[in-house]
Amino acid sequence: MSIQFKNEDSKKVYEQFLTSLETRLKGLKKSDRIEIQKELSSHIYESMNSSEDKPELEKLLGSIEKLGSLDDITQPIVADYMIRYAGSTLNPTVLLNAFAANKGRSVQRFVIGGLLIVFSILTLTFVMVSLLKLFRPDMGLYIGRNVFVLGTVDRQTQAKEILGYWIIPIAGVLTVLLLWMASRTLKFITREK
Amino acid sequence: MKIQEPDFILKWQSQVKKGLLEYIILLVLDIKTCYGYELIQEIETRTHLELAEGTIYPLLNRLKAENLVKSKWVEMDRSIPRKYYEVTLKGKEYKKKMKNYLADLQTSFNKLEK
Repeated sequence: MSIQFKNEDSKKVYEQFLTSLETRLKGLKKSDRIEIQKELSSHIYESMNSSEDKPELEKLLGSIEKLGSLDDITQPIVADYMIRYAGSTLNPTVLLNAFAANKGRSVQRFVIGGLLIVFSILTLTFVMVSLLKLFRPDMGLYIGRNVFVLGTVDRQTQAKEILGYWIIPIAGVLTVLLLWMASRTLKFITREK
Repeated sequence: MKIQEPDFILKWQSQVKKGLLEYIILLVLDIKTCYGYELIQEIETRTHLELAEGTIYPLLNRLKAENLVKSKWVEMDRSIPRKYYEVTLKGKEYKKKMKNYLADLQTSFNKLEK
C-alpha cells in the first residue's frame, strides 16, 4: 500500500523516490524489493505524520531528507542479500554480482578476491584449452625447461604435453572447485570482523 | 551553547556510535516492540544519539538475517501498515554477550586509566 497524496507535486516527488529506490534494489527478488519499498514508505508516512503542521510537500521533502542517502540504506542491504544468495548457489552470475556489491570492504578482502580472480582466469584458460582440444589434438598443457604453456607449442620447443585428454575432466573439476571457492571466499571476505 | 568538538573526536564518536548501534537496537527492542520510525525516536530519546534515520534499516535487515530479531506487518485502521520488530531468544542471548563484553572492556579501560 502506498501513501496517498493530495498535492500533485508531492505525488511526483514520492514517485521519483520510489523509482530511485527501485533502481538501487535491482538484483533483489521482487518480494524483497516490495518489502523494502513498503517499509521505507511506512517510515516516510510516520515521519510526515509526526511533523509539525506544514504543507504536505514540505513534510514529504523533510522526511526524505531525514531518511538520509538512499545509497547508504540500500548498498548494505543489497550486499548482504547477495552474500546470502551467493552462499547457496554456484551460479557464476550471482557470484560476480555478489563480488561487485561487496567491493571495497577492505584491502585484505580485496587481495583475497584478487587471488580468486587469478585462479578464475587460470581455470577459464583450462576450460578453453580443453574445449579446443576436442577439435585440435595438439592443444594441451606443455611443461618443459622454462616452459609452461596452456595451448600449443611449436615442435622445436623442448616441452612435453603432460595431461593429454585428461585436461578435459580436470578442467571440469577445476571449474567446480572454483565456484565452490568463490562461494566460500565470499562468505569469508564479507564477514564482519 | 553546545561546544563544537574537534573533527577527530566527531569522527571517532561516529565510529563508536556505528559500532554500538546493533547493541542499542537490541536493547531498545528488548524493552518494547517497535516499528522502524518508532525505534529511531526511542533510540534518540533514550540515548540522545542523532541518527540518519535510514541507517537502522540495513542493521535491522542484518539482525533479522541472523535471527536476532523478527518482524511482522501489522495493518492499521487509518494509516498504512507498520512493520514491527521484536527481539528473539537468540537476540536476547547475544545482547547479554555484548553487555558482558562491554563491561569487560570498561574494566580494562579503568585499569589503563589508573
